[in-house]
Amino acid sequence: MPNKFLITKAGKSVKSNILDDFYLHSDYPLLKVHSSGTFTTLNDGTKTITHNLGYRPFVLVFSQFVNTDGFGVAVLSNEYYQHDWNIDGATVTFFGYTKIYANKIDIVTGNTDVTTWAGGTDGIYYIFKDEL
Amino acid sequence: MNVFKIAKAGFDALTADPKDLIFDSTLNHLKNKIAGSFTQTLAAGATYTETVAHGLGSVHPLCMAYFRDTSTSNWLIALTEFGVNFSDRKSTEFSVEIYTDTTNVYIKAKNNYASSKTIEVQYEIFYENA
Repeated sequence: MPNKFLITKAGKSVKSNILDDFYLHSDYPLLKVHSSGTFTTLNDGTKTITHNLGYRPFVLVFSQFVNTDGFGVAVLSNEYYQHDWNIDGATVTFFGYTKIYANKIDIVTGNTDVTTWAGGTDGIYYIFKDEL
Repeated sequence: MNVFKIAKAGFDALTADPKDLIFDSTLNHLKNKIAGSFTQTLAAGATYTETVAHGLGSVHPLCMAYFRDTSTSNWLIALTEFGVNFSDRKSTEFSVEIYTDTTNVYIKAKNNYASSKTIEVQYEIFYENA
């Protein structure tokens, strides 16, 4: 049997069979950060982040999303949401998503009317060493 | 500098690619700040928002949320949506989204079923932020 490396939470036993009792359990990989950063004023376009890992990595992206005020005017959220949104306005649909490649990610925002919105979209991204 | 690495079974920690490591002391790992859950029974069309102070200062933390209809054992990841028109995106009658500002993390759940339903949500908020 291979050796194990275990670090438990305070008061928990290394003999526990409950995975949540461990800070580190060598049977289970931790997500390892490759790179992280922010983007700003992304407005109907693509922000490309090159990672050159050679495979498609696990990625987390959060961003402001665009809603409409009910009268066709774009309204930018103050909060950061998971960057996977698709907002159906009266005359235009706004969308945000991330495309993951072996050498880069593309963080995309846009809409079906090729208009822009005041301020553009801000957000954060984390790219991990871990393969999808 | 001393380096501590644990490789996956079948890999050599001295030569393995980072994706084949369990742990690498030269890299940052996601560190859990808050883990929590809540269960709510929502009337048809009702919405509930759980607000969790993240206490990380003026930043937006990374976070995740999963949810299930308590009548099933199928857990689904929260996706951003706004408006009932997109309820079909997740093939579920619950809409759940998780979002942040510089003070709180919010988990918003909406019941799109035609009857009262109970939802269970689990969430993780990480120290990693920007």
